[in-house]
Amino acid sequence: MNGELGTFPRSDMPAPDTGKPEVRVLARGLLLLKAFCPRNVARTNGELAAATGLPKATVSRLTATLTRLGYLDYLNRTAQYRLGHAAVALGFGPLSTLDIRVRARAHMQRFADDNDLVVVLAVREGMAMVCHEVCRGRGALTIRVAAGSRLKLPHSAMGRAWIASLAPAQHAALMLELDQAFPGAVLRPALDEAAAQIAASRFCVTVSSLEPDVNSVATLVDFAQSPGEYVVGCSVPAFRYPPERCQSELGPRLLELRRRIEADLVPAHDGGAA
Amino acid sequence: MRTRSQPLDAPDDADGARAAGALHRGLEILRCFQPGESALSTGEIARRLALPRNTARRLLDTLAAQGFLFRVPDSDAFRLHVACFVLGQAVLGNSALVRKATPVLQVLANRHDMHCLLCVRDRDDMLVLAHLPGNGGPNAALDPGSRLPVADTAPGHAWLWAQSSDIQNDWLARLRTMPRGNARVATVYQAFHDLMQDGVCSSFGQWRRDLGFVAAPVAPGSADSAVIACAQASTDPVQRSRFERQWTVALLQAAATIRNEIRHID
Repeated sequence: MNGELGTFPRSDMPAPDTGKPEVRVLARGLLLLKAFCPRNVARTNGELAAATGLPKATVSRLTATLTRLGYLDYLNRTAQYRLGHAAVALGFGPLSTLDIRVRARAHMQRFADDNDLVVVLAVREGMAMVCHEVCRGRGALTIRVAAGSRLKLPHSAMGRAWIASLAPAQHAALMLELDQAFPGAVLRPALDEAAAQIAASRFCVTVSSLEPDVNSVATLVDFAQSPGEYVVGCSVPAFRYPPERCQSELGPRLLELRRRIEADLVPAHDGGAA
Repeated sequence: MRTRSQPLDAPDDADGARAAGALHRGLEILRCFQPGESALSTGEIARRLALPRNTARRLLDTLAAQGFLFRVPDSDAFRLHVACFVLGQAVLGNSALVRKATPVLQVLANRHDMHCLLCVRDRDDMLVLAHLPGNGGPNAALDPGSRLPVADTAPGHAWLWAQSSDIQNDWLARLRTMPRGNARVATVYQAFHDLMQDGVCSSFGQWRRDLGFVAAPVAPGSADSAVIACAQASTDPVQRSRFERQWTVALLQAAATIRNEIRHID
């Protein structure tokens, strides 16, 4: 595991108020675009100001610019904005054809078919694990996830596996963020348990943590190009896979999937970058 | 369906213009990654956008801090990251156009075992919003977010046909200045002729050698930019003519269904 996780985005951080003006305006513009995620609900300048904590005059300037650039649509009738189709041009396409995802997809689908379950490749964003790739076996009707679904960071097996991978300083910082995001929730025991499992066997098992009667197993995929970024996890109905079976059968199989994905992605041409 | 643009004030002062420029440049960085490109170095990004390296670096760091880029550890390279996915997914997952068109295109794709696409115009390209691969068709690499050049593909020609004559003339004038300009313009005129006569147009192998399209605008006569298309990965002339005949009617029916579905979308 690379110790460079400090480079991991803290996307829920407010835009910096200091620094060069060009950096500030870009940071604020990005913050504003993200304020429409994940459901792209139409919002007025006032609502956007409240959601982002930016001054309303700033928001008005930014929405005007973003509309002129085509990334926001303006709804005359309600004086609201929302993301326009052009926002799909901001990296979405090349991202979905990234080597990592294209190659992982083939292995994941075979794994889902062979074991008749749902397998997910996810990345952390804010307080969620965002599902990038979702493959299901023929009869796998458990857990309702699709590409784009957001699973709560501390409650999903994948989130717990990711948290367990953090270096101590980042881990401590994240615990403070979790306390703010989930006030009153007792998260520590489950996270410590997951960390102990990861240390012992490189995967962790959760029991009905996201949905009742669904158990999950997760492990980090270590690509040289993006250490600590992707997590692979699978979900199964608890009646078919009680926790002991997850531990003894599914976990090792998931590690084998992880090994296959990693082996497929040993960097060829940009190996020098990692 | 609507995509209105707000009458916008110009930025009120030079600072405002500079600030808007920084936002524009930052977002251009996200657009400069091409399909299949994993990581790009700071130098390469600066070169593509004709930016001073230090400026590029500041913008890249800001994009990374916000989760749009991922800095490859121990290197000067960046990759696209999760916020781009979340943003695109927020648009695609909540677009009424995509929601209404998808089931119609799915039926079409299944019935004919073809790739079906929903596109909108974005600058010089048609941006794919939905791709419904038919059963068993070869992977045509046309996933959402892919781009098809307006100048060289049937979806682009179908879009252009639905535009005002001013916009058409601008485009044709630009096309003439491109390499093989006259041939390209002739192809567009042929497409306009086909659209007038049959309601659809086709292109084979002009953009990617192995790929053909038949396309129809969703709402001809409106400025709206949505186009649906079917794609086939074959340039065999016999297959091609069968493909065109078979698809014309099906595609026009699908366009009419979608047009009807989206009429009441706000």
